[in-house]
Amino acid sequence: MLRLGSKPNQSREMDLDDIFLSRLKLLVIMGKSYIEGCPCGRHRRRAMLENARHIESESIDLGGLVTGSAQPTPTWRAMEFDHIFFQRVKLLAVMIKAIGKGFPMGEHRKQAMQENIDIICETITFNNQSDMPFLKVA
Amino acid sequence: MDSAGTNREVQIIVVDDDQLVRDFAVHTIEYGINRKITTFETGFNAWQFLQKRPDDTDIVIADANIPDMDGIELLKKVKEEFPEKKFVLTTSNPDFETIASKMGADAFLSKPYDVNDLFTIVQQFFAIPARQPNHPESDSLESDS
Repeated sequence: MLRLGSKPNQSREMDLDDIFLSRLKLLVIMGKSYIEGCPCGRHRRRAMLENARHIESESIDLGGLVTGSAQPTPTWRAMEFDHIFFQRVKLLAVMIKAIGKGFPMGEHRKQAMQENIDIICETITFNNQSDMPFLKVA
Repeated sequence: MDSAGTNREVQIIVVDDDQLVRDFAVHTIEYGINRKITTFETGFNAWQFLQKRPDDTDIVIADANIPDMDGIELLKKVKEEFPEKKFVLTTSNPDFETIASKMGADAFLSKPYDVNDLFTIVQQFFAIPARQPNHPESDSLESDS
């Protein structure tokens, strides 16, 4: 039997923080795959749109946290991410939505997305060392 | 290619009553295989679907803690009646690992899991065949770049 997921002593129900971070990883993979020229299909595009919408909506709350206007939020959101990071996440979500909708992407847009992804990955890696192996292969 | 020698795509159902977790798993797997995933909130509904349309599912990914019929019971029934189907049990309770192994689960996915774990399952169990242009649940892949 294949055994995956968290270690036995770290097992727990998945909360909003787990979902957000995992979806952000998925968003990074989607962006990098597109830049690498991986093919898209109808279901893939739909998954990109849905994932980007989720991240975009969650990032609004996160951004509000910095300015003090957010609703009560779960634990990891208190991590020391800055406002620009959340704006970069939202930007990546918008970029992935554009890809999902089939909008044209030129070389400069791709380069901008690559740079945005790199900075997001650096921030996540800095704040969560356990994500490092993932980010190296994403 | 299935045992009958015909080309046929692997089909998956995801069973979890937590919509946020279920949607995340569905979007990740759908992105990984470019195929529509069928979802259920309860074990009973999933079991009914399996009984009515046994040929429409190859892999079941189910949470252990779901209403009506829990994941362990669903695993037991699936392996008794459809032993050829792959079953992935997800749970936040590590004590279920031994039970899942004894009951013949093909994979145990401990919560919280992330994208990498789901992609590993995709790579392990989803033998993606060549392009199937006439399949209703899949479409061709086109490169944008």
